[in-house]
Amino acid sequence: MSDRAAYFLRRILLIFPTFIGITFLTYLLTQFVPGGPVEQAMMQMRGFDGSGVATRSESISEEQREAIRAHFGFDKPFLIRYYDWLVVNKMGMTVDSYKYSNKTVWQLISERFPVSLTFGIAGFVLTYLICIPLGIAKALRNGSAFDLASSVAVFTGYAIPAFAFGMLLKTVFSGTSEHFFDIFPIGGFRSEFFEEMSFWEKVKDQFMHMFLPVMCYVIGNFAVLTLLMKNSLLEQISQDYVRTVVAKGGSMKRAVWKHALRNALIPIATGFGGVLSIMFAGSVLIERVFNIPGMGLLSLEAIVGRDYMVFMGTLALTSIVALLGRVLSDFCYVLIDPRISFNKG
Amino acid sequence: MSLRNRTFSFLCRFMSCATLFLGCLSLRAEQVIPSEDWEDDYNPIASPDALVGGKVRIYAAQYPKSFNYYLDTTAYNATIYGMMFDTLMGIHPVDASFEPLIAESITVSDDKLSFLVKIDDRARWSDGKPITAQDVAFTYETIMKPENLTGPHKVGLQEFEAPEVVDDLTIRFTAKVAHWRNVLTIATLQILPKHFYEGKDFNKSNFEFPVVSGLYRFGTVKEGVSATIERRADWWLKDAKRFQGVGNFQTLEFRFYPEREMAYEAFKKGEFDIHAVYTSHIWVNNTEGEAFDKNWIVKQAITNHEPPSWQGFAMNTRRDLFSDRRVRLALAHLLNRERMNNELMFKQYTLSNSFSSDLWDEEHPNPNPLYEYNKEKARALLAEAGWKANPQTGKLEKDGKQFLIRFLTRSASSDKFLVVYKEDLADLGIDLEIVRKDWAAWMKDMDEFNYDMTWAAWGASLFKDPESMWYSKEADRPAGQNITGFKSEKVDALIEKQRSIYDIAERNDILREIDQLVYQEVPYILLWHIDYTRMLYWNKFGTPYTVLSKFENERSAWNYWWIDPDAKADLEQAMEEGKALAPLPYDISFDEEFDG
Repeated sequence: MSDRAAYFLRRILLIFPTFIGITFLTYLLTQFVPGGPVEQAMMQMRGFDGSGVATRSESISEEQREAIRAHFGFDKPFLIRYYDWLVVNKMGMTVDSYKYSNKTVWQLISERFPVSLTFGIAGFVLTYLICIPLGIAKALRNGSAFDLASSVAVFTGYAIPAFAFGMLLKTVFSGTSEHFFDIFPIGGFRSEFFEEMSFWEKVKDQFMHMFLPVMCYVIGNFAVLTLLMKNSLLEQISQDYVRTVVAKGGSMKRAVWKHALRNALIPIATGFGGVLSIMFAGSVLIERVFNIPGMGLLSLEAIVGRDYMVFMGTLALTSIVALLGRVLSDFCYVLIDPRISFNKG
Repeated sequence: MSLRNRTFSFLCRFMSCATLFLGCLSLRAEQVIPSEDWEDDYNPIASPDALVGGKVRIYAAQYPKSFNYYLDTTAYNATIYGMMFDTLMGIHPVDASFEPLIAESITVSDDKLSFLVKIDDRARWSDGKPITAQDVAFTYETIMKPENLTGPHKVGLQEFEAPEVVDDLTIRFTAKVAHWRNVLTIATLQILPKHFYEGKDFNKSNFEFPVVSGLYRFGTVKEGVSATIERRADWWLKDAKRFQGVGNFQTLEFRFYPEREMAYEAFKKGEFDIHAVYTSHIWVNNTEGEAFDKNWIVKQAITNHEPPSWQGFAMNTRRDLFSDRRVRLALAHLLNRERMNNELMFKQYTLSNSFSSDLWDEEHPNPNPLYEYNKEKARALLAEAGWKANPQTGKLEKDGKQFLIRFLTRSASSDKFLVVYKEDLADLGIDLEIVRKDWAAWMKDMDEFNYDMTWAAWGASLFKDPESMWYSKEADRPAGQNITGFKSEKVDALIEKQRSIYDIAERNDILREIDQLVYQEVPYILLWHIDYTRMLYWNKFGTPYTVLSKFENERSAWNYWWIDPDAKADLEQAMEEGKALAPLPYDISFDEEFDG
């Protein structure tokens, strides 16, 4: 087995104990955080929902208390509960959500995942499609007025938090404020009557719903990726081999496009693994601003509502994806740069 | 007839007469609800002009985890579920007395412990089956089953023994202790169809209600987006006089938005028709634009008799710091509510000087003084209580201890108010430390009495029960509602006295006494309340003159409004041509409009 194959095998095998470690610790923590489903049910029983509904509470019997604990499985020892969660309930996927009590965690996740995936892929592709050419153009025109102006634009985008940018876009383009434009819907993933639309109407509807949120997804990632591309290319251009190509009579254009660019793309390519997490996790704030029923919003609701099973389910899947993503990043790195070796010597 | 037989016959007649006499006596001691002279009559709020039909789209907060009110007790669920499942008795919209619904009467024994419920033999489920005493017993069992997450509904019902089915149309409830609340618990019980729910897991009955008893049946659900209920043509009570002009919409579509701000944007875009505003700055600053200027959207402030919720800074009187009334009063005088109302809330609120401001009216003027902002008064009270400023630090001290209040909060939105308070306290040498926790951690601290001062808000009910909040026995019980640890023998005596009084007016006299006594003790620094509903709606509806009902907020619109075809056509034409509609009055007062 080559050293690379052994390395990747090791990395893949390491995923299992790391995963167990993450989920075990998180599961343990959830036991200590106040406000779990039992406490919520008790609170509701006391009519104390924060706004304060005046119902009486003196007579919640011990039997009722125990029944609620048993209903949510809190009558078993911790290790058994963790084992049940991991093995019996397949990472909690077969358990009902506390909040959406008619759905299993898996049902919820599988409904939300395609939404986040759609936004994630669109955002990811758009970011790379814009940032790579822009980074190259900036490197080739380093110090020019174009470089300066584009840097100002890119940094402004970076400085504005994505959710604030989302609010701004909504105010200006979704017809909620007088004197502005009413072009896009105020939120949601699709129109309510999407299923009844013709194919092209569907395409248009999806585009209109996605445009503003995807802009938000993209805007925050512009600066990092564009500058990474630019600096990486500038660094390559200053290398000896570029000078050698030029010295041998090759054009600068040829040196850049044929040689430097490939090397400059290496750091960019290593970010590819991370895209899995982005697609899976969704963006909490953007999904909240645009009321998009994606994974981000699901996780947020689960944390706020102490819906532990959903929270653990999303955590488990994002952990797996993140761990796999790191291996994928390494793989991309090796694929692009043949010089990489994993020999300890 | 022999003497023996005659004697026997006499004794029999005597016994019969005696039984009849005693029976008459006991009959006279029994109370029948509603009274025998009750008769069906038109609802005085409903408009005779109301038309049945059409669809209204309504904002309904977050998508609920269940539409089953027994499992998820949100305010919206209460109304939606209430439109599908009738209670045993209804409540008159103006005088709040009980009216027949599924039950034609409830007979209360003279010891106020036994309640004989007689079900109307015409009462039917939507599938045509009769509603019976077995359904009522099943409802009790379902709610009380420990494994069912039927929340607060257990609390009222556990005051009763398991009910006894007398016959198909009669059931008897027996309470453990006499209390006026018992009849309310029974009368407002929403009955479940035994033949549908028996053998099913009730905790899973969240989104399907094929058998109902009310005017509306469940329609369609678009998860996370909307849900509808549809008016039934075959409701057994549809021809009753009191239901004419009520429940006019053919379809009610509830639209769910996770946040009010988001909902308001959607409302302005026309995604739904009726919206009540609960944020002052929106009402004052964000209700402008073409739709408002041209009266396509109606903006109205409606004052009625809805019991206002109340809020205040609760002080933990179990702690030495707050055990002295003079200190609590001083702290009340240091809260500049007027400034907060003027500067932070656009003068939209009324400063509270009662825990139940709806109890006071012209006939019963509120005698409670308003604790005005007055630093000198506060300074004097604190000095009287033994708090003196340390000449070196300027901080108030007593017995070597500094005056420090840890304010337990769970909302960042309270900060702007607390900062004002903190400044005023600091002027007198009192430190206020803000301790922010999330609701769960806040709740845990509250349950363990682990707080100095906190911001507490309470809903109010038409039928007020002071027991849980002001009874001494509640003060030391963790996880209760007497969060301030309030104790008063006088108040205890009044609480005990009102328990057996069925007459709401008579009870209110006692409640006013309690309100005064508690207010004097200052367990809360009362803040403010709002006594009108801020309504926005697209101008296409017919409404009663009072717009809303007497005791309800915007949710009464669902019941009393209707689509006015002329107004709807006018609105559509005006929007198409960009023209203005005639304005509707801004201020509506129930008392002025109601001609009952």
